Order: sequence, then structure tokens, then C-alpha cells
Amino acid sequence: MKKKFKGIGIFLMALLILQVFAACSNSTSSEDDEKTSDSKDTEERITLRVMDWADSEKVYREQFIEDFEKRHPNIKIEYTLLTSDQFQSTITTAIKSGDAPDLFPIPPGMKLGTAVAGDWYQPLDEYLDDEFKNRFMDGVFVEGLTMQDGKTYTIPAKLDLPNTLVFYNKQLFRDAGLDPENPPKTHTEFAEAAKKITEASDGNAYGIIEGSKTIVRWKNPIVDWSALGGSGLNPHSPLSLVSNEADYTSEPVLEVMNLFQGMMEDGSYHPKTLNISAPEARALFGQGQAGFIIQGEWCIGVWQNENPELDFGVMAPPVPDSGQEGFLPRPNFQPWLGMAKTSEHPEAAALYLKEYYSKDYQSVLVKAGDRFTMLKDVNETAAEIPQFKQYYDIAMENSRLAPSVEIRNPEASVVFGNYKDPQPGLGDILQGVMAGALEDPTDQLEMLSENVNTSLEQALEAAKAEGAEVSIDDFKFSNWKPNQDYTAEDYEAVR
Amino acid sequence: MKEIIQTKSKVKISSKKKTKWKTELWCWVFLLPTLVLFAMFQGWPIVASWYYATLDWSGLTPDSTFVGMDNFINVAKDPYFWNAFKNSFIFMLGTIPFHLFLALVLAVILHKPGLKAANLFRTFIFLPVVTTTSIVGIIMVFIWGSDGSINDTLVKIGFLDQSINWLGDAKWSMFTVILVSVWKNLGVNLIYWLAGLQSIPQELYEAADVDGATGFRKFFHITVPLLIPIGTIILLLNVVNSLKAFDLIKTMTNGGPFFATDVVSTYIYRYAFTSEMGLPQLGYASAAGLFFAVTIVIIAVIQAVVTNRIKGGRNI
Repeated sequence: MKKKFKGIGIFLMALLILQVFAACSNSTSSEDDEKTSDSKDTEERITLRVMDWADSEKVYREQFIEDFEKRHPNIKIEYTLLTSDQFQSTITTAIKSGDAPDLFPIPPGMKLGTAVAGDWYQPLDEYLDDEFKNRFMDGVFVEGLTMQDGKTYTIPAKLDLPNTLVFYNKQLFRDAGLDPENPPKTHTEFAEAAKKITEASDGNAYGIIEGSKTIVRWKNPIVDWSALGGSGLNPHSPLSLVSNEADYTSEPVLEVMNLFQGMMEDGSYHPKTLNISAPEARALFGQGQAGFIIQGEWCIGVWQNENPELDFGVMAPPVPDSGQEGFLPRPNFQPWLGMAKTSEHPEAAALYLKEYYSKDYQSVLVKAGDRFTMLKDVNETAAEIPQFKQYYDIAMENSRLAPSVEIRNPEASVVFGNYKDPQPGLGDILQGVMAGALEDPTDQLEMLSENVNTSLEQALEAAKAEGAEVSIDDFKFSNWKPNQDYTAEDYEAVR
Repeated sequence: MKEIIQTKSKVKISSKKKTKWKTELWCWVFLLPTLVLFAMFQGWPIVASWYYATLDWSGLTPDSTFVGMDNFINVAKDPYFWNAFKNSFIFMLGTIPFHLFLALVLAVILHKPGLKAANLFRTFIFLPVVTTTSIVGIIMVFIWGSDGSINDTLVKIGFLDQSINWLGDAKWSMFTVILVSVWKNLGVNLIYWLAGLQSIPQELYEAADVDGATGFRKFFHITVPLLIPIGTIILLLNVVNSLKAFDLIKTMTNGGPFFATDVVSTYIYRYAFTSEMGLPQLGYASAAGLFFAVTIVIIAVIQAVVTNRIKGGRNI
């Protein structure tokens, strides 16, 4: 019996060894085949590598790449989609080893000046003509944001609008006896509506849902909604445009915190809020489990595809009961996609950019409700989803273009390069309040204000030591008016 | 004659030396791949992180500034680092007793000869070990959610009046994470203990049976003493693994709510890879990692010294 097993064992072993050799020979022959075909195509076919973290665009991008390769059979696109965290570590290693993708975006938090100083990108002007640049809205190619020393280095991803508008479920409104065509306008009305929805839903739905684990989804509403109350907070600077200091204990900030805290205490928040991330919250809203969610326009396309039966509307954020004292701060265009300095195929990369930022492809994204484009007239003509159009109108009506420190003084990017973001931040503190870990956030907010002021002072000193001509005055905009867009003329006036 | 004997013994010694030298050489040859891999993937990163810890560097840009011990000083000054430090030890102390004692009890039960379906139970207990931790974390968020099945069951059987937000409530989140970690890693400790139990010679139990020893006495006088060496290794492995816990906490709570489950690994990750405004701080994160490692070494040394002194005192 033992001998029999031994025999089988030897046979199996021999079979395995044979298989290994066979596999080796197969792989060698397939490699040979590839080499032969490669050598045939080497002269014509090039591989263009693109890397980013635009996950919401994945389906459309794959189709775009397929079509692009059909139109240009000599170019193969190698597209890598990562999360933004993965991207940060991957791109650093790739650049250091001289293996950067041909096209890649600037990592979150980094300013153009820092990337250019690190020799990451090459100027695009040689490859992209005026016809290309003329496709874009005014303000896309601006010194300090996408340009440095008169040269264009990056192209933004989209038209940035405030991402803190409120989506509401019309069916739950009707079930709670609320008028879906007349959504709440003030903090108190908002809280009352959420409470009514919770009560009317009998545990099947709740007033509001958020993704607490995505800290920025707590921070953004505080920044934006408190700006409606006159806090002067904005996404471009750690300082308030009103007080010219890091001021996180102002009345408008506390009012918004109290609003959310009160809604948590009265049971209006979906019980899952504290355990989930933003995409999960978005999915639960899509399933009709909450009356409100504070989100950006990218959700519309997702709900359109995944929850076609969802009957929802878009509304402006509620203003303080005492009245509106400001507008939502509308961000300037942010630098995004650039061409690696080491790219061996700049012409092909430029061709990719031209087609990516074509009216045809950008219209696909707008039509799908994925984003608002920066191309002139496309948002107006391509948007089909009613809520998407509505979002655009409400966001534009209720926001004003915020001033940018880097547009005013491009050397300020060195300050941001040295700025150490203090923790816990605004989002962390609100999360603590909502979880019941912080009963009174005032101490934490005071500490945050102090830490931000100190961090900014240290960053300014470090930037000056590196030779940047910057001062705290670059962060103060004396001619900013809360009810007006900050324009090129305004920058000129304070320079 | 004497000379011949001396020459023979010299030849013997030199050939012994040669054999010893050859054996040592072969030992090193066999060790070489491991040493090379260790140097590449463990040694070098450790050396590099010491270097990074002395820099003011985001990890993204080529420019960095040498800041000496500043990062270490800032780490020591940050109350949130000490909160994460404390949480790491709470997590360790919460998981290890279960991993040691519960796993041992289960191993003894499952090791009993003739136990029906022992293999089935072993498989069930081991199953979570082979499941990806991050997936377990995501699923557990739903199971332990305020309207999840745990709450649902506890309310239905009358154990709770109203559901508890196990992960969203700062008072319960660490307890929940510990519990899930215990469930996830119990199987691997069970296997270690089973291996230890199987190495105990059966004759000892047979001899004890002849002497009329009870099961209880056999356990404490044969099993436990013979398991102490492997128990020490299991303890060490668990200490190391629990202090560097990351994926489960990252996916279940992300260190929240408001840092209630923030351990040193999630603290390091936050500084190394994320920043809402400005760039991440890789230099600072490296310093936090090293500070933690050095502190553990100091604690271990103090503990070893104290233990030795106590032992010495007893000997006297």
C-alpha cells in the first residue's frame, strides 16, 4: 500500500516538474511571440501612461480610451486608477525612479509652485495652441494656479462649485406633509423638516444622513454654511476673510455646529451616519433612507444610474435664522493634470489632452451628471438631468468667487508647501461633537485657531528663509466684499 | 608512538575545525537569501526611517530640511500622540488575554481525543483568519451598526432596551474593535496552542493516569508547564501584532470617533499620507513610528530588569 502511494507520489512529482518546464517553455515562446510582434510595431506603436484618482469617471474614461486607441492605433494608453492616498505614495516613488507616467495630476494639498520646483512637469505651451486654450472659460489659465512664470503647466479637472448644497428626497417630504417645491430656508426650518421626516418615517428613514468617516464631509459644510452667516471662512486660506485671522470660534461657525449637534440629539441623523463613509451615505440616500444629504454635484450621475426611481430635489443650504450675511465661497480652478518632465511622448500626451478636453468627451461627462466642465458653453448645452442643471443654477446664484492667495502672489505656494495642517482639524472637532465625545467644542476650536495662526506664522518664516517674497498681508484681502466675486481687477488693486 | 598519537589527534582536530568551518559556511550560505531580503525590505527601511525622522519633509517634494530632533520633540509634545499611544496599549491589553487564555481553553477542548466534529469546529474558528482583514472591517461596520444584526438580536432577546452605536459612540468603539479583533485572530492562536499540545508526549498523561491524577491536575501539572515555552512565543507574537494593528481599525472606525480608537499606526498614517491644507508630514510620521518603537523597547527592558530582580530576590 505504502509502495503504491510512493509510486503515485513520484508520478505526481514528475508531472509537476514537467508542468513547470512546460510552463517555462510556453512563457518563453509567448514572450518570443510578443517580442516579434513588438519589434514589428516598435517604430509605430507607443505606450502613453496616464495615472490619476478620478474614480467617478471610470466608466466614461474607459470608453474614451478605447475610442482614442481606435482613432490612434499607434498609441496604446496604459491607464492606472488609484485612490488619492495610493496616488501620493506611488507618484513620489515613480518620479524619484525616473519612471513617472506621461500624464498625472498634482496630488491633493500640493501647489503648482512646489511641483514645478521639484521638476515634476514640463510646460504645455509648446504642444497646446491658442485654439485649445480658447476652449476654456476665463480664469482657467492663471498665474499661480495653473501657470508659473508665464508658462502653462497643468489643466484643471473641472469647474469647481461649492459641494455643500442640499439634496432632498421629495417622496419623504410628501410623506411628512412637507412641500417638496418649497424646501426649508433657515436653520430652524431645516432642523424641523428633518425631524418631521424622521417622525413620519417610523424608523424606515431619517431626516438626514452623512458619511462621518469622511472627515472632509464635516469640514466642508462648516466652512461653507458658516460663510453664509458671515464667518469669512473659505477653501483657499486658513484665515477668515472677515477677521483676517484663523477664527473658528466665531458666531456663524458655532451656529452651524449647534444646528448639526441639535439635529443629532433629536434623532434626525440616520443612525449609520457615525459608522459610514461619504459614498456609503450617498448610497443609503439613494435607497430612500434619508430626507437630506449635504453633497456635491457628482452624486447626481450616480443616483441617476443606480437609483433611477429616486425622486429628489436640490436646494441651497439653509441660512441662519438671523439672516444671510454672506455667500458660499466658490473655489477658483485648481491645478490638476500635467505632463511629466521626463515624458518621452509629449506629442502623444498633448493629443490625449486635446481629445480629453474636447467638447465631445466633456459633454459626455456633463450629460452623465459627473461634473461641470470648464469648456465654454458645454454645461449649458450638454446638461440634460434636471437636478444637474438646477445644481448649477443654485450654486452660481448662492456663491461668490473667493480670493486666492496664490493668484495674488504665486510665491505663496512656498508658504503652503511649508504649512503643517494642525490636528484635530475643523472636521475632526465636528465629528467629535456629533459622536458625543465633545460636549462643548469651544476649547478645541480656540486651540485650533491658535494652532492655525502659529502654523501659518511658521510657514511664512520658512518660506521667507527659502527666499520667497511673502508676507501675512498676502492672506488679507481688504477689498473683498462678501456679496461680490473677487475679480482680476480686485487682485490688481491689492498687489 | 606518542608522536603518532599526537599527530593523529592534531589531524583529527584540524579536520574537526574544517568540518565546523564548512558547516558554518553552509549555514551562512543558506541564511544569505533571508539576510539579503531582510536588509532590502526590513533593514534598509528602518535605517531610512531614522534618517527621514530627522527631516522636515512631506515625502512628496525633493526638498527637505534637516531638523535634528525637532520631530521627536514635537511628537512628545502632542497630546494626540499620547492618546494614540495609550489606545495602542489598551488594544493590546484588551486582545491578548483572549488570544492567550480563550484560545488555550478552546485548543484543549478541541484536542480531546474522540471529540466529534473537532475538525469542523477548528475550521470554523480558523475561517476568519484567512479572510482579508479590511473586508472583515467593512462587513463588521454593518453587523455592529446601530441598526445592525448585533443590536437587533440584543434588543429582541431583551438584553438591551435600545440599540447601542457600537462604533459611533466613543464609549463603546474601542471595546467593539477589540472584540472583532479577538474573533478575527483567535483561530491562529488556537493553531499555535494545538501545535504545542500535540508536542506533549502522551506517556506523561498515561503515567499521570496510573498515578490517579484528575484532569484538572494533569492540566496544571503537565500541560501548562510544558506549554510555557510556546506560550511565551504566542505572547510575543500577539504583543507585536496588536501594537501594530492598522487595517481593522482603519476600516472599522478610521481611528474615530474623535480619536477614541486612534492607535499609533493610524496616527502615523494620518500624518504621512493626508493633509487638508498643505502637504503631508512624512518626517514627523517617521519620528512618531520610531518614538513608539523606542518607547516599547524601553518598557520591555525595564520589565525584563524588574522581572530579573524579582526572580533574584526570590532566589535569595
